[in-house]
Amino acid sequence: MNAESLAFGPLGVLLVGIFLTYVAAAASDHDEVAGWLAALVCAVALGATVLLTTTALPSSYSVLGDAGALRITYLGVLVAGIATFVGAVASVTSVRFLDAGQETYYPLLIALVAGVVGIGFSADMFTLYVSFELMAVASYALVPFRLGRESAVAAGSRYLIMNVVGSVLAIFGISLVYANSGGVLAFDALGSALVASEGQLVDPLAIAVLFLVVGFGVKAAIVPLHTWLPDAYTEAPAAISALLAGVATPAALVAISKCLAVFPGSIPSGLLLVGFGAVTMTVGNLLALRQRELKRLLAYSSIPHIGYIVVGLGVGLYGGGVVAFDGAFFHILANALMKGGAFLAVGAILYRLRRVDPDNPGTMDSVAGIGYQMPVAAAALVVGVLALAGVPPLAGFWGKLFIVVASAEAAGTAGILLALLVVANSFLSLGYYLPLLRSLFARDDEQSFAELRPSPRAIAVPLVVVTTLTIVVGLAPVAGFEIVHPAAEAMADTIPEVSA
Amino acid sequence: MNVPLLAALGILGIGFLGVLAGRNLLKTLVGVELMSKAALVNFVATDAASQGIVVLLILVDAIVVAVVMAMAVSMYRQYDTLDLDAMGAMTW
Amino acid sequence: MTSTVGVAALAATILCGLAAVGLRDMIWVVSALASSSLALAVFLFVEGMPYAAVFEATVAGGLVSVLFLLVISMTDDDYVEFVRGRTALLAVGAGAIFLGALGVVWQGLSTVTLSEGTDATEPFVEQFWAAHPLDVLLVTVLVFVGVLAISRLTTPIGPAETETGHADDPTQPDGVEAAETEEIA
Repeated sequence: MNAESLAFGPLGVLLVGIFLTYVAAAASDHDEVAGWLAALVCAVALGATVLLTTTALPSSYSVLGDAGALRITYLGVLVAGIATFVGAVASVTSVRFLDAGQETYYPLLIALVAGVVGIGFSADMFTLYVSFELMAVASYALVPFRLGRESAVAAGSRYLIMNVVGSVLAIFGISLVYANSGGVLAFDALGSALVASEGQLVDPLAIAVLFLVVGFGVKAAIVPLHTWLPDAYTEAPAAISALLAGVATPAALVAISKCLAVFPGSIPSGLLLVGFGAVTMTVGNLLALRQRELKRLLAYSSIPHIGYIVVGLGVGLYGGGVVAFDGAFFHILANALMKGGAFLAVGAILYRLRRVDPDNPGTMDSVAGIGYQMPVAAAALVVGVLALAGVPPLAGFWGKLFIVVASAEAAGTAGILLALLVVANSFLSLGYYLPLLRSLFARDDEQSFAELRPSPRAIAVPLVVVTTLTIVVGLAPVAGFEIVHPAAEAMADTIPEVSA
Repeated sequence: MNVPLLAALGILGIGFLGVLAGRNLLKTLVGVELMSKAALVNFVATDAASQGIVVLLILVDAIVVAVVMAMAVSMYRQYDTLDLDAMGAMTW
Repeated sequence: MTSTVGVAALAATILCGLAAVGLRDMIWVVSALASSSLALAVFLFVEGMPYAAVFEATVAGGLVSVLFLLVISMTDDDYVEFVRGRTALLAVGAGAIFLGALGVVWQGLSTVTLSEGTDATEPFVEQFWAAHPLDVLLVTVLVFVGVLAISRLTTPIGPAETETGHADDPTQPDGVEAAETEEIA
């Protein structure tokens, strides 16, 4: 297999998969065929991604023609790996619970993963944008998938409006880059093509950065652009929420970092991100404290994690070196596992609960003690939540640690204050994570869930896999860093020296 | 002065106002359409072989418009109206 | 720099855009948006992008306007009657725009060269493909995905339709219950 085919492998498999799953769902009488096929497609794409690590990276490939179209970097491999893995898990868990609409659901799910992989491997800003749109359009129909529910349609429309506006702001930002670089959009060429202008009132490149951050920032749920997130994550089917939280939202962050990395050092993109990140962390945690309903709580709690990653990226772009990117990318990886597992666990719990008690609001009080009846889901949720809270030695701890260290080292007093803010926010999040755990195992004589069956196998097996990975990544962070560090190094290398 | 850039910013601004002021999903969509035209102007104004990009962007834009309209139909079926204030969809 | 015609076209785009945003009556809004698209198409043409001009006129000016009218007729009671009564007129209008755009293509193919710096003798399609094949592929897939999304979003929700049984909400407002079919894990 020549190198070009291998490079196109992950994306190609996924693109073909979109059509194949549609055909499978339309042609087959069995509801489950398309779902298993989707999982298989993602698994093959994951395999192809892993194979790519054996070649010399970074490398550029042209696909189907002469123009350089794909740029395979470690960052791209990281993103593609996460996306295909979570995609496979999401497909498998959807198999059981989806009994209508397969012919659109699975193709759209694969399309979402394909878009994210495209973002990771894109060689220029335009391909990045088109891939981003592929992911976005697929998600516009996946979030309100349960069309019968009024709340789902409302959540879907708010999600749609905000993200469509975000996308158009992003392409405007790209058009500004294009105008200022003389028509260059390829990432490897942009570094030299963009020159900061002197003596102008407002540097057009700074404006471009602003548009890019705000535009992609809507999808990334950076505060104050996050308002679509709680409703969308709550109303979307659990597997889709897992996919959004673990894959799509971080993909937007990767898009931002790929784009911002090419700007000259005089543009304070790092500071911009740090500012947004700090606000996102803190506001996110404060909002989450008020939530009582399980799925909504998880949704709100996604926001601070985005904040941690954005702070990490910001510090890195500011000149904080590899450590900051190590932390940010590790947290992207950990986040996918922790969030994915948590959403799937909550999905399992609510699924069983609503069969028995359809009016149960799913709040912490109303599910008190459910852990004894559904041990697998509850254990997975415990691990996921503890990891999210940043308890060592679980997965969520290491990323934050590196981000904290990088902040403290990077910028003197301000950096140390920032580091303290991250730590404080971590503790703050315990304020809502701990009550959640307590309620799972509360001893409450009034409520009995004796009629509840444990999680169905179709969800239990993937849950165990994801949870195990969360634990492993936490206990042996070296493995995680092995994957993440090359991406971080590649990123840090592209940052021009910050002028003193 | 750079006429196309100014025009682009102007179109962007008008479109954005339309988005903010739109009471109904379709008006918001009109605003988004205008904003995307603004980006097109920037691509055209640069002296580079960007016709392919422009064509592709027009296509992407059309697809997004169609999907938004499908959402509008779906909203109408639920709520019998496209008025965003009525369903609180734009409340921040 | 931009020619006079180009500046005029841009100005027209802006003015029509203002109208589209400011007007209340949806039919006028759609007309204003279509005019804005046509003005932009003229700008594209004058700036040496005839194919883009055609796309803008047919797709953004024609197709999008038709879609708007379709959705308006389905969703706004005031206009259901308006559109139904004038379907023929609207169809003719849309057809005229389309034919006009085709005329532009015809002209363009025979007289105008492509944007500067490119080999004008190569067919546009080949150049288009060669310059960014992956993007063309992705947009093609995007069209398919868009159709899927539209198909899903416009699925009718009636008593016969069950999209129940998804992880956390087995019951539906329509009262359709999913059958209890699962085994014990």
